[in-house]
Amino acid sequence: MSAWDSTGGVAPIRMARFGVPFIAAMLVLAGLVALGGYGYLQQRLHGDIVTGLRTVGKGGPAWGVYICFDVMFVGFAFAGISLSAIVRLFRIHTLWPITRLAEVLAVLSLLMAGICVIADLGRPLHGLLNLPLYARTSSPFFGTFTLVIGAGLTASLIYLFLDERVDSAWWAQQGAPRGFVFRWSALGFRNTAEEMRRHRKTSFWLSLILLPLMLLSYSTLGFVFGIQGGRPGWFGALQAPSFVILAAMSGLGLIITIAATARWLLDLHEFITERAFLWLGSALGVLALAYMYLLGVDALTSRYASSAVQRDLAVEITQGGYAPMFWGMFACYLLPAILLVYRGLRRAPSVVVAALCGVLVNVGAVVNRYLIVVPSQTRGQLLLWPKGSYAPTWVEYAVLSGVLALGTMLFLIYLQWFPAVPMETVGLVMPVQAAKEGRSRARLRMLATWMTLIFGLALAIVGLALSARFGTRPEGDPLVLGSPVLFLSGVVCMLGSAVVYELFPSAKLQQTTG
Amino acid sequence: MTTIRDTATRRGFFGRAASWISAIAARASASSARTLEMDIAEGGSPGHGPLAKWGMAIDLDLCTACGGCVVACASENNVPSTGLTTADAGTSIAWMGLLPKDDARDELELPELLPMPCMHCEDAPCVKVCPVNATYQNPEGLVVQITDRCIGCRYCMVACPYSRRFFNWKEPEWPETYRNLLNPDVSTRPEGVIEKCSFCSHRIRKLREESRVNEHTITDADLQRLPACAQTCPANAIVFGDLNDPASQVSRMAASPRSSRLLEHLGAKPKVIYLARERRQDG
Repeated sequence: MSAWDSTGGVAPIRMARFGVPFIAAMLVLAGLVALGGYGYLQQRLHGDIVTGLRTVGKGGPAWGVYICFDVMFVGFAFAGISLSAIVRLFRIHTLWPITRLAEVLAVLSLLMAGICVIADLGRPLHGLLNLPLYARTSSPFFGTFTLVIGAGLTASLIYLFLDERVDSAWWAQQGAPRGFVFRWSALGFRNTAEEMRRHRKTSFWLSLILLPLMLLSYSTLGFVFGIQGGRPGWFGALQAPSFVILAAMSGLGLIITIAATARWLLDLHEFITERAFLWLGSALGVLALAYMYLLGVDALTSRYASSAVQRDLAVEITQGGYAPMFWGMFACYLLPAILLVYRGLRRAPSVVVAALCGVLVNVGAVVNRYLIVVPSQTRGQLLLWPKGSYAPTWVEYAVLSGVLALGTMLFLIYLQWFPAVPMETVGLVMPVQAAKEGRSRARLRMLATWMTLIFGLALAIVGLALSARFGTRPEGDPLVLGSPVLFLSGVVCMLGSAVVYELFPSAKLQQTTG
Repeated sequence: MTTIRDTATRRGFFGRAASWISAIAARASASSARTLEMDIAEGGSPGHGPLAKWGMAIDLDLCTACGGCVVACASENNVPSTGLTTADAGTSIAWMGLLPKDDARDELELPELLPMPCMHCEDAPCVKVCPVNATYQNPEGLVVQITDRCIGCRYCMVACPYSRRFFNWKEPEWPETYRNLLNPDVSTRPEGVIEKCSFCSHRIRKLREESRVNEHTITDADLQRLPACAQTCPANAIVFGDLNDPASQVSRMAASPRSSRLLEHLGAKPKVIYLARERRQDG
C-alpha cells in the first residue's frame, strides 16, 4: 500500500497519507533536528569557538555558512511570496495551483532564516531582547529585523492563512476526514459568493502591497554587504539588485523542484500542468541569464577597481584558489539557462528537466553565497593582516542539517494535513449563494479596515521617527526604548487590516441555495 | 492657555498637535544633549577647552617594534589569554597589535612591524552598522563598546577596515598566576561579545577625578603618556593627547609633514596618526 494515497474520494486532490514511509521520513528528520540541537548546545556550552569561524584579520571569517544560509532562506521566502503575488496580481491561472506551495515555502523559509541568525549570534538572548529595544536605523540589520523577519513573516502568514481559510471551509463542507482541523482553520468562512469576492479583493491589494515590501526588505539584506566601504568585494550599488535576482532565481528553482516532487508524490498531474513548468522553467532560465550578466558586470568592474586589494580579490575568485568554486557555480547557472531557455523557445516542457535545473541552480546558489560572504573576509584585507581560511566544523553542518530537516519536516506535516493545491484555482470551490451583505455592515467593515490600516501606518511612522530620533542622530539609541517594536507593530497592523477586512463578522446567512 | 473650546475646534486640534510634535522634538534634542552632558560629566573637562578630541600619534622613526605596547595593553585591559597554538591564533585578542610590513606598499617607510590600536575613527564604519548601539562614538571622539548590550553579531568586526575588533570566541581565561593581577579598573568581558581598544578611557576618567580632588589642572604633559601603551613605550614613540588643543604634542605631530593616517582614502578619518621614518642619507 502506498503511503501517499487518495483521501478517499472526497476530492481529486490527494494529501500525504500517514503511513510507514511518512513515519520513517519523520523519524530521520527528527533525528537530524536532534543532531542540530545537540550541535547548537555545544556552541552555547563551549562558545562559538566550536565553529570554524574566527576573528577577521586573525585567520578567519567572522561570518560563515550560517549567514550564507540565512541569506538563502530569506531569498526563498522572497521568491515564494513574490511568485504568489505576481500570479494573483496578473491572474496567471496556469501557475495558480503552485501558489500554495510557494506560500508555505515562504513561511517555513523565514522560520529557518530566523534560526540561522540566532545560531550565528554570540549572545542570542541579548539579541532577542536588545534588537526590539535598541535597533537603530543606521544599521541594515534594522531592516532585516523589522521588515524581513517581522513584516515578511507576518505577511507570509497572513497570505497563507487567508487563502487556506477558503479551502478549509470547502473541505469542512465536504465532510473531509479530520474535519475539525478544517472547521477550525476556516475561522467562520462560509464560502458565500460575497466572501469570495472580498477574498479576491484582499488578495489583489495584499499582492500589490507585498511586492514592493518584499523587494525593499530583501534589498536591506543586500545592503548588509553593499554598504561596506572597507570590505573589498562587498561595497557596490549592484549588491542589492544582485541579491534580489539571485534570490528570485534560487527561490524559483526550489519552488519548481518542490512542485515537481509534490506533483509526483501526490499525483497532482491534472492540476500542476506541464505548461506551468514551461512557464516557470522559462522564467528560471531568463533569471539565470540575467544573474550571469550581473556576475559578469561585477567581475569585469572589479578588475578595474581603484583598490589593488579588490582587483586581487577578483582575480583570486575567478582565477585563484576560489576558481573551481566560481566556475562550478557558473556551470550550475549556464547549463539550466541554456536548457530552459531552449525548451521555452521550442515550447517543449519537461518536468524532470525543470526540476533538475532547479536543483542545479540551488547548488550554484549555495556556492555563490559562500563566495559572496567568505572570500572578502579571508582574502580582502586592506592591511597586511594574515590571510584567513574557513572550513565549517561538524557543529555548523549539524545545525544547518537540523534547520533544513526542521523545515522539511514542517513542510511534510503541512502536506499531511492540508492540500498542496488551492481548491479555488482548480475550479472546485463553488460559492454558496447568499443574500448580499447589508450596506451598514459593509460600511462598518470598511471603517474597521481603514482604521486598522491608518492606525498601523501612524504607528509605523511614529515608530520609525522615534527609532531614527527624528533624523537628528540616527546612530544613537531610539528616542523611546522599544520604538523599533512600534515600527514593526505598525507594519504588522497595516498588513493585518487585510485580516480585519476578511474576518469582520458577516451578517447571519439568510438564504442559501445549492 | 488652551481651553476646552480650543481643543474642540479644528484650529485648536492642529495647535495642540503642533505643540505635541515640538515637545517630542525638544525631548529628542534634550535627550541628545543630556547624553553629551553625561559623557562630559563622566569624564570631566580635559582642561583644553570645552571638549577634547582624543587622538594618538605614533612616530615610526622612534618605534623599535619591541612589542612592549602590546604586552602593556593586554595587561592593563585584562585581555584574556586564548592559547598559544596555531589553532588558537584565530581567536586571539590584541587591542594593540603589530601589523606586518608590506614591501610593495611601503609609502610610510614603515618599520618591520607597525603598532596598531583601534583608530577611533571620526566616521567609524563599525559604529554605523552596530544594530543595537552597543558601540558608539562619545562626544570626545572615543569609539566606545558597551559590553553588556553587545549581541555578538560581529557586524562591527566585519565592517572595520583596520581589523581592530575582537570577539570572545569562548569564556575568557587567564593563567592561574595572572588571576590576582587583573586590573580592577577594567571589567572583564564575557564569552560571545566584541571588545576593542578604548584608548585606556578608564585612565582618562581616573586622571580627571584625581585632578578634581587635588584641584590640579590637567596639562598636556599629564596626557602624553596616559594610555598603557604610551606609558610603556621605551622609545617614547607613542603620544596621546587632545587633537582639539593646537598646542598639544599630538596636534603638533599631526601637523608634521611626516604625518599620515592609514587607509585615508576610505574617509573614516582615523584619529591615530603615523609619522613616517625620516629618510637618512647614511641609510
